[in-house]
Amino acid sequence: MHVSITEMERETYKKSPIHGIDGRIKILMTLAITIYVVALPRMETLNFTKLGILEAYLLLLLLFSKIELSHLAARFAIALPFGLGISILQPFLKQPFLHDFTIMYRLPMGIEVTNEGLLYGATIFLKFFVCISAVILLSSTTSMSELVASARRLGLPKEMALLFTMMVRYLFVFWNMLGRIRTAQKTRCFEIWNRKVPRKWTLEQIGYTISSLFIRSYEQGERTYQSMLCRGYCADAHVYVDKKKLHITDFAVLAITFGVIIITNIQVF
Amino acid sequence: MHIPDTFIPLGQAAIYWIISILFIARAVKWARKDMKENMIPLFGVLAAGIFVLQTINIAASLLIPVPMFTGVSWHIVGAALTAIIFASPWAAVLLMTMVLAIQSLFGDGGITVMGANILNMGIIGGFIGYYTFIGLGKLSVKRPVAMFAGGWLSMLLPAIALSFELWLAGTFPLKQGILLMGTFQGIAGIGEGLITVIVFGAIIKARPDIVNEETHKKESTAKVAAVGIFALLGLAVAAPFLASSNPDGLQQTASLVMSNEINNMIAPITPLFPSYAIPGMGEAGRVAAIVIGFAAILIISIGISRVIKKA
Repeated sequence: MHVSITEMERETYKKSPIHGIDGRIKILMTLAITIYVVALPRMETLNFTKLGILEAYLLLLLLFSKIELSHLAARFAIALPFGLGISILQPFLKQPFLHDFTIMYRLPMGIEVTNEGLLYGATIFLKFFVCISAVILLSSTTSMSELVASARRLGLPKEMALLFTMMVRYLFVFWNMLGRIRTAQKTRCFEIWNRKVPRKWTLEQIGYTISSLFIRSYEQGERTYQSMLCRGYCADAHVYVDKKKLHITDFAVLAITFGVIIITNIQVF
Repeated sequence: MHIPDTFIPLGQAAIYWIISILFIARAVKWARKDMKENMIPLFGVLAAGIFVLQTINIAASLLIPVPMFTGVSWHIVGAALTAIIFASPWAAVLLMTMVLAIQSLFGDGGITVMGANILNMGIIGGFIGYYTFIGLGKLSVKRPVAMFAGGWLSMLLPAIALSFELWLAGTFPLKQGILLMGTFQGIAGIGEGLITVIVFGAIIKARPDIVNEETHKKESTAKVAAVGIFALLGLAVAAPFLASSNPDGLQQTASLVMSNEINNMIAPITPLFPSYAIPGMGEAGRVAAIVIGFAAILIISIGISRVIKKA
């Protein structure tokens, strides 16, 4: 599975009700959901309903956003492995914050599956899954430059805003540059899995690719910096971000999101 | 090795965020003031380059020729590399922060845990990588060797820190964590070290003006020592949690061969801290005992070196 940043950016330029929501609102939504989910208690069966409602809400939004399913599947497939791995191991571990364990199964070699471990593993995986869904919703419906501008409007310090503006502007330039280097290497039959050439040589070639990218991006940085100086850039300068009015629909979406979070806390569930 | 969201409870994640923000603020100030000019735009563009070069997958079979690892790949991080090139660990902190922030949008890492990830890969990786290189250079170790060591440790120590964070969070047991992540990062670190040496060599040939070699020589020994002491102190605090409660080889043999004699024997000297611990304090006592011992050794060795210098 591989998703290139260009594919990711292409999805963000689609038109849909979700794409139309102001970036600030989407950032706040993602932050609220993530912080709420992380703050949920570690071990509670009630969590499952809460997380289920939140996940259903996020999936509904993803459905409305017209993002291609194959793209979504690929995004999840990239994000999941490390978290999934650690969650799967939980039933076999003795969590240090617990004292009593009920053993469900005894496997050979003294491996024990505990009830509590299973509950903790399932909880942590679901929590992680909801967080990933929220981030994927944010990043596949908001373009990177829009994200940076929204973060600036939300009060990101001006130096950080400048750094990120420059970074996302050149991300795609260097991405394509790496693509060209790779194509050039392929035409010369270069292949990192090739075992027939000495390892040292392959490693050197990779090193040179990296050096070339490093120097080219440094030189691009120099050129950009100098041209900025020519146009009057100084230490007090900051990125201009135009004011953008929030619409009633934006506030409505934010209110609905907080509403969903509050609903999950009603004892009925 | 990015910690995902929910793997660290909110309170602990907040502490890592605070530590990271302090370092990021200093790093931004470094790019604005300490460099010859205000280099913020340049570092923004360079961060994009670093992000892209982290997407270059390198086959693991290049390092260890085990058929099991066919298809497994790793990528370089570049914390040690950027710190060495710009002759300052703050460069690594700044660039890694930017890269990690964008990566978290891909679902690599997370929002609440970004502080912890910056702490591991940017701060620990950058500082350890850079000062290992400088320190070994001062001991007149050859430059490629020092650089390799810097690159290797800049991968290994973050993995150990990560294991500790996950253990404090209650998510993963310490020993297995260190074994698992340490092995993986220890192997990937060999690649990181080798690539660091190759890339540095290429860059110094193509653009010697980028590399700030003067600063490498001027770096004060006190700073290297401070970072070294900080790292060793961290490991010292970590040690009791890793130590096995089983008797070590010598004790084991002794108790097998002469169990009677040992039981009847009276220790000639009562140690200050029996079993390397202050009694009645639990694990905290063991940590305290090691910290006290470490400080004592440090003071004694500084004292001795002063005396030798004067003589």
